[in-house]
Amino acid sequence: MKCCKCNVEMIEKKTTFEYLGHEANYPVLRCPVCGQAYVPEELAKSKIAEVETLLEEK
Amino acid sequence: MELAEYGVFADKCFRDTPPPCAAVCPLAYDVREFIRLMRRGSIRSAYKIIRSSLIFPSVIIRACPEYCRRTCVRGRLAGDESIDLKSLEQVCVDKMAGKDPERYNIPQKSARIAVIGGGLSGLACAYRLASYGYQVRVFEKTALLGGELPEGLDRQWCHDEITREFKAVRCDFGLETEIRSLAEIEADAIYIATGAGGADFREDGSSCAGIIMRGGASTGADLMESVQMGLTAAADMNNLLLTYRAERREDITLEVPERQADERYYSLHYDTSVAKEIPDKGAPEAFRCMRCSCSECYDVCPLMGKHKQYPKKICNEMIVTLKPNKSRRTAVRMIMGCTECHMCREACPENIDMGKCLQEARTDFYESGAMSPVFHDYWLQDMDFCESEEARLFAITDESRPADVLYFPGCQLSASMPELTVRSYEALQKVSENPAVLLGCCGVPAKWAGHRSDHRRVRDRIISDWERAGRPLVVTACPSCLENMKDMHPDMKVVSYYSFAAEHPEMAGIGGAAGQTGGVGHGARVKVIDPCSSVSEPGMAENVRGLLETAGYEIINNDPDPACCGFGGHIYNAVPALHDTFAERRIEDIADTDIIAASYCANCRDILAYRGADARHVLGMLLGTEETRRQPPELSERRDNRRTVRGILAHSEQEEDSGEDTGMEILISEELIRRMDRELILREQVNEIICEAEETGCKVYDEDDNVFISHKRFGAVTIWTVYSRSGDTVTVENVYLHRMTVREDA
Repeated sequence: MKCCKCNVEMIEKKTTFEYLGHEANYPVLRCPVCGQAYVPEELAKSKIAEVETLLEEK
Repeated sequence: MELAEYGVFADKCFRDTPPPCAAVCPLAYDVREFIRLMRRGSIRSAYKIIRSSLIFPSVIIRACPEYCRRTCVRGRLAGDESIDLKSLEQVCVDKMAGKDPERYNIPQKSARIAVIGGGLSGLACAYRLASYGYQVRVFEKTALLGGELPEGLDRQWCHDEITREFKAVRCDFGLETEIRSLAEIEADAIYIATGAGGADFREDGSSCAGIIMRGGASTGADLMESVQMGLTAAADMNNLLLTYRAERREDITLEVPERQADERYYSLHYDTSVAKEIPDKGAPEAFRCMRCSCSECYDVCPLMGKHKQYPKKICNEMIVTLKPNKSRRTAVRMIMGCTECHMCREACPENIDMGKCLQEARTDFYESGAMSPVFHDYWLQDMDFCESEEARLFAITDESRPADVLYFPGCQLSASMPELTVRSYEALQKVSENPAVLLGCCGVPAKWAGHRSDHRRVRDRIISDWERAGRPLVVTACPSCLENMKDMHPDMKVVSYYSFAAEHPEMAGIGGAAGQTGGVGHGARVKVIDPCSSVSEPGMAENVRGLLETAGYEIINNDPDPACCGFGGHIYNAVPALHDTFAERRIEDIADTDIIAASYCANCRDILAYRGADARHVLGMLLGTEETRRQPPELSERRDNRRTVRGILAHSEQEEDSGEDTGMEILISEELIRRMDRELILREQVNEIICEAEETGCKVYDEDDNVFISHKRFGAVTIWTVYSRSGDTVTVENVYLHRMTVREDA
């Protein structure tokens, strides 16, 4: 995976996700220069979706 | 709504009140639970239930005059018979016969109780108080316990049964002991149940310290009522003794409370079928019992079914969830899952409108700031689009004089059926002197989202246009708009297109429309799909049927049967599975048949057509323009359609493509478009992401699959696109979204 803007390989990094005033952290690929992230579909549909559902009922 | 108001909102709900059989029985117990257990063959548990009320079940059942038979709902049904509850109880008791009652270690209390009279009333009181741990002594002038019993009951057998039951508790008996004066007794409380004609000790009652209670047959009660009095005396004495003060004196004569069956139970809908296979252990009569209970709202509402909750419990859940600073809001999906179809109100014998309750809850939830914006984000954006210059239009044919009719087709009609929207206005123009048209949203998405101020904003704009038009009659083709608009302004009269057309047969004539007998229908068989909002105008459903029949269709369901397709309330983003349940219920008997599902709500039509029904819009059927099994347009097309309708009715040139020329051709497969529609992602959003990524280079390259990935935040969601590029052709491979925001600081 490569960041096209910075032309560098992306590296895995713990990244903060925010929702409804809460935060959660997941390791995702990030550009070491500009910070651009890549959230794969599997992550969006599994862990992230589960946490979203929980937070919506908090 | 204040939290306290939720607490009383469903006060009139009589769910879980005693059914008629129990309401008239002095010794009522939870008969529904008893029947449930008897069906399962759980005899021991069933016995526990009846024993807690009947105290000496074997004797009481034999003495029971069967009040329940006279009021049994089943017994009032034509050709049916009352449930033989007595024989069911007997089955239960027989299976437990000879077994000694269970003993419990109860700490003894110091208070002493005297019971004068060893009949069933006194014994019931004695047993109950002894089971609480009081020191109880029963005085009976004869040698046998049981008192006056109905003929045929062997007194010795009854005495033995009662004695066996008393093995579970500590209680002293003074048999062949006649009390002549209360002064002979030392006790903190005395229950006098000497039977009909027995001594009442009134003359020396005042000299006795402590509590005196009188009950039983001497007060005019029958045998079962006497037993009930004994239990009431025990409960009252226990309460008084727990709060007893030394100087306190009580002299109470108990009365028989009135018992009446709740007539509402007789007008409910019941499943009278009896289970075909009865388990070996189960009692057959238990399967005939309908376990009467009101579930009218529950039966029509998939939301209540999903959460297994009835109005009163729902109201309690609202209070718990809406309390400030809750760490867990258990009823969020319930609040967000109401389609506001109000079918619960229509079904409820007390007209309790849980839709209104949940609407209030949704508004309160939104205003508390705890509601996720994503639930209604798409629909509010859609509403804003309808209200934008691209789609909104207000036009009067002759602006120099007031309009007589203002046509409000509804934003979903023009989104789904642009040509029909225009044609239906043309039909209306034929009977109107100076028609006006208003393309826009009625504001119901804001109402459904709980956004009061946005709803007011849209409403005020409509009222302003209506006043500019000279306050004409408003005719709408959308039943949901009608429901939302009918109370918008006290002077604004809103009618459905169908009722208006029924009153104006001269509207017929374009494309073989209504009024031409044998016209466009050619005898095709039609099931009318009444939308939930059709109840907002009396006669709308009948008028639709009349118009279809006149146009030559054969209607197979003459009685209106309004129900919700799942669109209402915009529940989709919060509870997609529930939305599907609503929709599936709506098409279960018409899917894959050649019967035309004739809907006069554009949302019902689209949802039913999407699920495989031959759903057509009534307007199109009347005008002869509706195609067979037409699929609903994709989300982006819906916006384009609104632009088109606006262009035609405003007599202005419509731009073919509202987007900018990017120099790229972006291809999205039909299958992916269908998935995007399910996720409420617009084609133009995907285009925007790709164009921006290509312009700024802000994208990720996946060497393995040779695709680019880019994303963008739209309102409450982040949308990701995966695409490949070959020259100026971009092929979108995948699109998905999530609701969380990603912090992408470097």
